[in-house]
Amino acid sequence: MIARHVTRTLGQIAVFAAFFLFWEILVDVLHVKPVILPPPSLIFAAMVKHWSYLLANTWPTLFAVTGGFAVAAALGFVIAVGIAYSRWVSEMTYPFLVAAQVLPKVALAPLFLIWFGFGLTPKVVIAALIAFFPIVINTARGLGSVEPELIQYMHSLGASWREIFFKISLPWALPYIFASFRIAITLAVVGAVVGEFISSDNGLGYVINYANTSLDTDVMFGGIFALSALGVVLFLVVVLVERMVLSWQVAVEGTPETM
Amino acid sequence: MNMRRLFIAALGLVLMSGPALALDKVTLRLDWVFGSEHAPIFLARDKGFFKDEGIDVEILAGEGSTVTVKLVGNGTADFGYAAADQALMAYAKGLPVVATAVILQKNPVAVIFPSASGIKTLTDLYGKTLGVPTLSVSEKQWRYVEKLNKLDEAKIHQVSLGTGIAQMIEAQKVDAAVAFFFNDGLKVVSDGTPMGWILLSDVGLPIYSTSLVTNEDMIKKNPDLVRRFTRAFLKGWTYALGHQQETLDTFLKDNPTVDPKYSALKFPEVLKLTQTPDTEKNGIGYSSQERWEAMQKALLDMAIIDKGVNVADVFSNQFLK
Amino acid sequence: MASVPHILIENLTLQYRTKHSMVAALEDVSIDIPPRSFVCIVGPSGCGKTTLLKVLSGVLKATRGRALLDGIPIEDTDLSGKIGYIFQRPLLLPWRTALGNVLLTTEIARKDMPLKERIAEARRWLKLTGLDGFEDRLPHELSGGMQQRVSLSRAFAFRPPILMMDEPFAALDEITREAMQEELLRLWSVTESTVIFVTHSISEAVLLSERIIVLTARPGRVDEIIDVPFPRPRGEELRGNPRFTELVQHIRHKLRGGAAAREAAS
Repeated sequence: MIARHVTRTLGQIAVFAAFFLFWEILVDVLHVKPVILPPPSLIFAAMVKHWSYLLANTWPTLFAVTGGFAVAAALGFVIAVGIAYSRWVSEMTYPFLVAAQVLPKVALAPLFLIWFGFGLTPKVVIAALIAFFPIVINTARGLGSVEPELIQYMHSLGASWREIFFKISLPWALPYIFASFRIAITLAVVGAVVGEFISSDNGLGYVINYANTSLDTDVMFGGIFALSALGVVLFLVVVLVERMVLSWQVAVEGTPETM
Repeated sequence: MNMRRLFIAALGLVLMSGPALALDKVTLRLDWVFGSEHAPIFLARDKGFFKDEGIDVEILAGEGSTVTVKLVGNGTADFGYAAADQALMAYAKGLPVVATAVILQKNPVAVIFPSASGIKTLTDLYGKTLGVPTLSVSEKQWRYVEKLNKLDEAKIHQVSLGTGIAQMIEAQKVDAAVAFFFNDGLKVVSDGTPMGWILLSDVGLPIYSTSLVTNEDMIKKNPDLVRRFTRAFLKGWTYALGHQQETLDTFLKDNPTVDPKYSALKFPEVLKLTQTPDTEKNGIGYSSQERWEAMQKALLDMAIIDKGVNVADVFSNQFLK
Repeated sequence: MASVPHILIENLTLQYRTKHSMVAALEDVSIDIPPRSFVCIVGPSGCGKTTLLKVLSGVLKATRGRALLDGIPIEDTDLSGKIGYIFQRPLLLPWRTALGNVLLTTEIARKDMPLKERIAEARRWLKLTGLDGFEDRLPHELSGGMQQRVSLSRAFAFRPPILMMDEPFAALDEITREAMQEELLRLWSVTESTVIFVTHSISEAVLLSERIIVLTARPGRVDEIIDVPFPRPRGEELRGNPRFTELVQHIRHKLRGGAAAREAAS
């Protein structure tokens, strides 16, 4: 079993290595100027050279992402419950939700600054706005997917709505909820970075943007790589929590690690 | 039969001279979206100055000087209209961008503020909130100015701004901001609030601004084209200086969606930046080795570049005539 | 356990509205279900068997006629905690063990029982259904038949006076099915509930119940009520009894004949 894990991980690393190798060769063969697209070797060198700078700017982005995700989860959950259990709520809010989702948040950027000030808040708001939609949709779906006969059975037993919700519906919906969490955490990263692009003096989004305007393309990609790494780590955290909470589901799926 | 021969000969001549009438198709990438600061360029095209030089120019809007110098340095755009300091930065990073005419002799980045604020000098910023665009080179320029003028940074409440500088000032979320005075500053004026500004160039920043740039390879391979293009380009500016209303009207006609009030406020201010004692003596677009050296030293001091280059490689006055 | 009521269905009609018209699911159905009896409802698909169960459990309301529990109309009765269900699908909670699933009904309907007692009772029923040693298994670790047995245990565990089963063994293979039928009879003999059992299978109905109600195709009307005379306890050997086979054939004929007659008449 361990051997299988190890070979899997090695395989995943190999894919990345192949990708970077291909990139390294390509820019050399095509004579691409490093300031336009640097080879991975230069990028990694820049990352090593500026590691403390990158690390220091990872924290603000991390806070913004987790904050935005938490807000999205809480907000998304509440709205989803409304949608799942009230047809009126569902019909009234759906079009609005979709409109909010499609709206380019960047366009609202100056307004966000005026309303939410500077610093962490606008980043968290934007991250939450971008991340909450899949949570709402999936949670509502999960809650609505409970076998109606089972619900009727519970009713006939005399169960209160609270009992039905917490004993049946909510655990039933958890696989759906966690599936949406996987998506939402990546969106929260995007959102936090958008927030940093709009206005910030810290965070990896800031690093990327600043390096871009300074034509420090290697540092810019270093920031991009660091951001990707952050996203992957957070995603894995969600998967890990999911595995702990839904241990029964994991067993059902047979193979331990299905991402 | 004689007539027929003559006719065929004449036809032949016309057909052969066809290729000679073909124009050089080039692209010109600007530094930003179309604004009245680009009016003389549109005028040069519309009045046929480029055609007269055998050039068919396509004018493209830009997304910042940084992108434009990348495109020109990479060969994706033939010519560009971008800030001279960006050109120098690009050259230092291996992109062979050369400025053939420096149009805006002074960097238009300034500390802008409502006139009513009573701010007259930089130290008047103490105790006030200043918006600084932390995602652009302007921020480094501001830090440099702070250093040169020995400002106590801690005494100014500085916040980071990205987009929407004009809105932030109008909403009074900041008392002042570091911005392009003729963009955000005049936008606020156009919306009804009188503004004042302190140009960073006036408090010690020796930076040339938007210039006509092209690729070193282009100069090597086709110097004649570069000369003709620069000539036509400058002709547009010279004409604009003498026919401001006509130039502005042409621009507004070409770009009907642009705010005319704001454009009218901007245009004369931009033209002012093209005139210095240097250009009066040597013609519009002239730049001096001395100033370029000073600019490079500033960039090194600002840690925007870490290695100097031979500035003579980055600019040229030889195409001005 | 609450007392087992006498169920009386009088001229029950249930109509519902579709896009185009009013459709009658059940029409003028009258059935007498004495307390502690085992009654089967048999009929072709769509004859309203499940609808009848829903009316009896208070989910649907009759359009005409009524259902009475010990003389009191159903709508005036508090049915909570009085009916146990077994569906065609086990409908277990996948995150609870077999024991946890069986505990669910007493958790909700027998809150007065202390936890220790409820667990003991749950274990007892699991043992009775032959799942001794599987209490801590999750549903996905159990076969279909075993899951259905958990479902049975779950329904029996809180000792409801009425048990409603809607084709509970239909999804199982024949061998498991027969085993479950016998198991059901054993479990039922330990309790004293009334069982209302819906099925397609005539032989199943004859084996299990003492009264078979045959419904016609939609709209469901009572075609015939057959009393099954075989004494209890009944077991596997009854299947071999010629009188058993005779009765099954007879009922089958009636159903077929009835269908043919209807076809001829239409």
